[in-house]
Amino acid sequence: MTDWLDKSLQSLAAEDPPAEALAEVRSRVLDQVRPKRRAWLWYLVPAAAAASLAIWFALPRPAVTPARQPVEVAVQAPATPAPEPPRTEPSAPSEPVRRPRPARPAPIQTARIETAKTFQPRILPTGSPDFVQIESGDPNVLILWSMNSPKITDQPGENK
Amino acid sequence: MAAWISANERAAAFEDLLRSNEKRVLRTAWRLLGSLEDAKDAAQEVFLKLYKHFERLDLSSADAWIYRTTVNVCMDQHRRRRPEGDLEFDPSAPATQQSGLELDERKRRLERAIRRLPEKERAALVLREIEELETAKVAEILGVTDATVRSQVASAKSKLKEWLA
Repeated sequence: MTDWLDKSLQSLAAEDPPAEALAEVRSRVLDQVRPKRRAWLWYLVPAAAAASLAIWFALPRPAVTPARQPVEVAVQAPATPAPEPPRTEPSAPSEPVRRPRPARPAPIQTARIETAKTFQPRILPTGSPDFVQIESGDPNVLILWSMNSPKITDQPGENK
Repeated sequence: MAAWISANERAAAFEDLLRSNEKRVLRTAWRLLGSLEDAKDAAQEVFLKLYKHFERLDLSSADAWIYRTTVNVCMDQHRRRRPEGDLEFDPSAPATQQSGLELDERKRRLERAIRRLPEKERAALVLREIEELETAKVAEILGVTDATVRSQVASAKSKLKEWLA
């Protein structure tokens, strides 16, 4: 019996698991441990580039300012001692020196308000002294004022 | 980029270790659990644990670590599984017959009988008699003395003889 048991145990030892089972385990394990390829990154890169371009075109452009001209800096001559002003003898006091008055400030410019053009009646000479022609604003309207018109009084009944 | 290369190198080194150990891990799990499907799950878990501890693992003692992890994973899985029913023996099939079909049937019975063993005895028997490791190595893997391993193996064989008689 012991011989049979030992033989059976040895037969179990000699029996390897099927190759398919080994391959399946290997595949399952490696699928979990292999670094992910991150395929979506390859789609993300051009998408991000396109989005950046779109944003760049959509943004308002600042006005182009001309490049500043280089400023020429005059080379300063080496410092030389400044000539001393000629000394003058103190003279007798003459008229007091008037200090110049500060210039008057310019008058404030006021804007002229253009008012609406108003009609100014003009009395024109007429042939008859009894009438005075008054020019109106309308060239088609001529006002003749009769000087011999009935006298208008304030008294009722006298106006005829 | 450097991290990606490093990860690739790490994966390649791990794949080498996986290929050199996959057969014995799956075989040990198969014998401990008695089911190839369960053994595949257990082997996968073992190798994922191996990957997790890969950088800290001393490769000189990797064999012992892999066997110990396999035993532990199988024990955990065996506890989670539904207990098997009683072994079905055919009384008309004498144990002394040696035809190929009967030998195969006996192997299946032996597998089921091994599954019924207490887990420590089962582990000692599988590592010593099926994986054919030395007693000292089995003791190192299981964290027991050599004498304990011998005792556990003897006890396991005695039970198998009794059940399969």
